[in-house]
Amino acid sequence: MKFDRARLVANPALCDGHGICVLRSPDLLTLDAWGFVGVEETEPLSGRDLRRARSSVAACPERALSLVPVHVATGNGARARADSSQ
Amino acid sequence: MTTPAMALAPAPGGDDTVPHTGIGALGGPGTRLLAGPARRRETLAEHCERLGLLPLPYSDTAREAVIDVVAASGLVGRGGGEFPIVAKLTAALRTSGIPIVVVNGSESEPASGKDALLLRYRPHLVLDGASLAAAVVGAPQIVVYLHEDTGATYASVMEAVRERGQLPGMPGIVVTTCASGFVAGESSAVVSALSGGVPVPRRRSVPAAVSGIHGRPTVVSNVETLAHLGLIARFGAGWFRTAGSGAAPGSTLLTLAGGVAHPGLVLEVSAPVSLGQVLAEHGGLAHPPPAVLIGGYGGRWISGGAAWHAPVDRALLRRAGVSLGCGLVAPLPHDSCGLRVTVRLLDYLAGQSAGQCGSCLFGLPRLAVDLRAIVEGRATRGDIRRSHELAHSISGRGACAHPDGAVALLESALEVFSADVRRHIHGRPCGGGLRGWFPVPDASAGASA
Repeated sequence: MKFDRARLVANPALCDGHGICVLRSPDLLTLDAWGFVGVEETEPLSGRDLRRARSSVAACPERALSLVPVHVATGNGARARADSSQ
Repeated sequence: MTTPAMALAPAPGGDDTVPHTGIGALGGPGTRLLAGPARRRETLAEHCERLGLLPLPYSDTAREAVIDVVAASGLVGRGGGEFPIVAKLTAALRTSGIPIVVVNGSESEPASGKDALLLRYRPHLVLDGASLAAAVVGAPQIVVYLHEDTGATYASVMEAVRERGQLPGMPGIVVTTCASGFVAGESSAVVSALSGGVPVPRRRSVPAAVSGIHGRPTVVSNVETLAHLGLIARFGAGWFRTAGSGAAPGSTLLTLAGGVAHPGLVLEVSAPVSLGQVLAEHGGLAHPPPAVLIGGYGGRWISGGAAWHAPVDRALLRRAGVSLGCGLVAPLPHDSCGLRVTVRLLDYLAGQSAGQCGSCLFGLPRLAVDLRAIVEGRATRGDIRRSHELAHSISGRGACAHPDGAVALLESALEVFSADVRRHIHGRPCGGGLRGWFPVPDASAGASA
């Protein structure tokens, strides 16, 4: 997975409410009243947030989470890399 | 270069310079989709005599020309999604693989009857649109997807397929049925069912037009949308745009339900026309009703006064936060309680969850229970606030828009019937009953994952 900016997406049809993902990314994910996952609206993730998101994706036994790379236009590439190295 | 939009016969509803307005029923004046014989099915011979043969594109330039015409028409999907059909055609044309066209005739909204009406009485117009879509994207096959409990519709389509066997150069047509159920008509559920899976919505990362049935480029389109396409192919984009407004071109089909003179009546409306005009001329209403449900059971209630003056215009309604959806217009009768009706519809929507997403499976029954508590005077202001919060937390958390529709129904009911809510929770219920035609199919007919 060679990308440094991505969006975290959940497939609610696969989520079974294990909840491990939220323990690993409490700022990025929420649980509803019954313990099913939802993704907070954020800017594309990078740096530490992206590392946490990867950990949540890996933790899900149902494979309900995934990361969708965000392709940055060439002009902003330098800034995107700078963001991710924070 | 020849244009595929040659008028071979007089255009239904006037030429392409005179603005086309009005409200018409099947076979009545001022109609386009519903023009032709009243109260009966139009045969292939009658259809061809009235409208001429469908001009199909056979070369790449002709296909591109049709794409240009469809783009210029501004036609959007009439199943509720309001997605531009030209985007689906273009995506399927540009993607490699053998494309397929699906006529989505499932019409899962219990009170909506416009697609069934077209398939029963004007099947060749719908199949013309599907044939044009197939010719444009190069699909050798069309699938007509119907719910299993639609006997007369099925028979009409089968007869139409048999009749069209005489026409040369038409793509093959397969008619298929699947289990009924509210969410089984959602386009990703249709693709899932036709790929051999269960008819429940799937979360997609790429659109069906790029990768649908068994990975093939799949154009899934609503019946009414395709019927419009069958006319646009003959009479062009300029003619299509003489009905409707610049932002929402073309005529639109509505089904009347609730407290109207003839529940289930299907009308063709060409803007500028107000909902009040439609309800007064064809619904038997002399005065604005207390409220009107618009767009389907997952639509919104709007107050009767606002609805009476609201234009039947998808773009203007959308700007006001209302979707015309499948075209359902259901005024609440004066002696009916809007909250009771909403409980009935919420119960139904909750039972129709595919059971895949937690928020929908557990959240929708809870919303119905909460509203029933309000109706029966067992709720407090705090309960209502918590119900709002719950509804807010459910919205947007499903793989499809089913829970969002139920939330919109509840939220709009609490807003429009706020005076009734206060009376109910203070132990002085409004006294209204459960009146009006808001049909709810047998719960046993639900979809299951």
